[in-house]
Amino acid sequence: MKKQIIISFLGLTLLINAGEFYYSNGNKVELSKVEVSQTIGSRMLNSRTKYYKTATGKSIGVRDDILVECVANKDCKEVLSKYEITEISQLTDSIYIIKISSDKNVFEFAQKLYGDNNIKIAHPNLRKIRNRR
Amino acid sequence: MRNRTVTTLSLIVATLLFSACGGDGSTEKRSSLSEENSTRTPRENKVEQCFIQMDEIALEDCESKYTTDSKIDVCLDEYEDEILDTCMLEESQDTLLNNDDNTDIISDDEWWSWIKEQEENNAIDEEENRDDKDKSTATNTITEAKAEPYFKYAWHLDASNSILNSKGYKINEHADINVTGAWGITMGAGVKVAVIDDGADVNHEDLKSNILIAYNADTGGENIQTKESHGNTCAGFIVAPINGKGIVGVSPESKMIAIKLEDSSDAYTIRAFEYAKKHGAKVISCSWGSNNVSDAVVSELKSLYNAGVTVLFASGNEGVSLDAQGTNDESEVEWVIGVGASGENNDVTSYSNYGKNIDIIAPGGDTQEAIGVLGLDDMGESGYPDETGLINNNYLFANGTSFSTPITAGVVAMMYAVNPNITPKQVKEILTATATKVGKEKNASYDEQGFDKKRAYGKINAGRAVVEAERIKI
Repeated sequence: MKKQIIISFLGLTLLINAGEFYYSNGNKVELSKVEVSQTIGSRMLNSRTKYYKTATGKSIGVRDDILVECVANKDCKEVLSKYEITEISQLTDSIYIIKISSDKNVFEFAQKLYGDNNIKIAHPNLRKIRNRR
Repeated sequence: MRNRTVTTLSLIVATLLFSACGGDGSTEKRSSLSEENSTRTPRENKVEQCFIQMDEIALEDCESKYTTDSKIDVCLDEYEDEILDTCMLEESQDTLLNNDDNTDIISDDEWWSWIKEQEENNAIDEEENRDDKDKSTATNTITEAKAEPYFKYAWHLDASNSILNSKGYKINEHADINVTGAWGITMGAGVKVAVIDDGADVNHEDLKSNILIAYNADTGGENIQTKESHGNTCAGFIVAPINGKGIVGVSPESKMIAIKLEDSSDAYTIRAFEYAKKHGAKVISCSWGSNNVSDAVVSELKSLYNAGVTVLFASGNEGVSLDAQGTNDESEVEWVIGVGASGENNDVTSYSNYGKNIDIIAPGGDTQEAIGVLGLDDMGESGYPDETGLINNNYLFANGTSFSTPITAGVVAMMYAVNPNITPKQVKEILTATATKVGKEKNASYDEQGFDKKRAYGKINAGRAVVEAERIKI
């Protein structure tokens, strides 16, 4: 019984982590949550940003917004209209930023968009370290 | 001897501030951070130190603005996202103290309405853009430029006439970029150059007359004033005017669009680029990088390329190959010019990152071995005290690919000045084809395409590049 619980727990952990990736240049970027102590964690309770590390150790932060670019000659607003989006705004001629409701998983939503043949780019609006050189 | 980088200086100030905090500098609001000391990892300790430091800055700012506790609390809450982003994302603390101008942080809702407002304002009046063009005449001469008080220390512009050798520094007489060869043709009039960085000192004596637009991409406002500004130094290398003060930029008759960007998100980065493009920048200089560029940002860089805007990125200062697996830096993107650093010895510096997608090197100086390149510091007391005894506090010697990049951007600005229709593709081709193949007496090994692993296509040659840009004019 104990073994079953452990296996179930591991399975649950894997399932939770399985959704935490995005696509970059056609490749999956797998992420792991940044482990923090209780005090740091408590500070982050009300934070809108969640922090992750890539497999190569780079830190990123995500919220509930996603950057999207559709394939050429497609009306991106129309393409996006079939999705449950809270807000949509045009950043450039071709790039849109959308906001989803906070109860949705931003990675899963971005993956779903990326799987749409009319969409070329879909990834969370990543927050990352910008080093001065 | 005053040999250091801007980053190093920030570190020193950071250390001093940490000392001043005495490990006890947390605000009342964050007092719980002192718990769990024994169980924290070094990284967590680092994050918590960051929290303490940022809390101090936030508290100081909020208390200076408001007198009632309730308003101070609201102000501190508005800081919270910024503090978390900074501390949770930063790998090192050397840049933390440069965030002292985050007084205009906006809420999420405000951000979204601001974006929508920007969409409406995006129809920039092209006529107005043309009116803004540099109206300066071509009366400035090479002689006047050389008469600038600190020109004699600007070896990146004219090494053969530098007097630094007589002051005990070792400067190769060929270490410059042959800017005087270009100045006989143009000094960059009529071209707008954008620097996207941490802000600038818009009142600097050797910058203000050439700042056309100041824009804060984080807030949508005009306040880009920052202490210990990295962007200030970068901007000066491009457009410091001929005005009888200090130094002179590579393209002193070009005009600057100074854009402050500290928000860490892709959306803000894209917004900063869009602003530069829509306000007429033909050249955008970026002395930063993430080693982790996003697809949407790459798409924006491609869009700028197709729109005729040349974007330059610094390759970084770790002395490593960017071809390593997992590295995906802005400076490697096909649509930009990646810039490494050359030194006083007229060869690539040991700290300059390199790789098959880096295009060019340019003077960045090497304070480990010599003095660095001379640029702008903050004005007056905000500036760092000069330790060389050569210059006043408004200027500094610094090193890094951060400064190679605006120096190259200045050359690109002059190429646009003589040939406004030149494309980014042509700019890159000319820059690389006219570069000087440095380091041949050492271990340089340029292949048939003229590429060396660490030196890319060589060191920029302003004179040759500008002549060639003019020659291909239709």
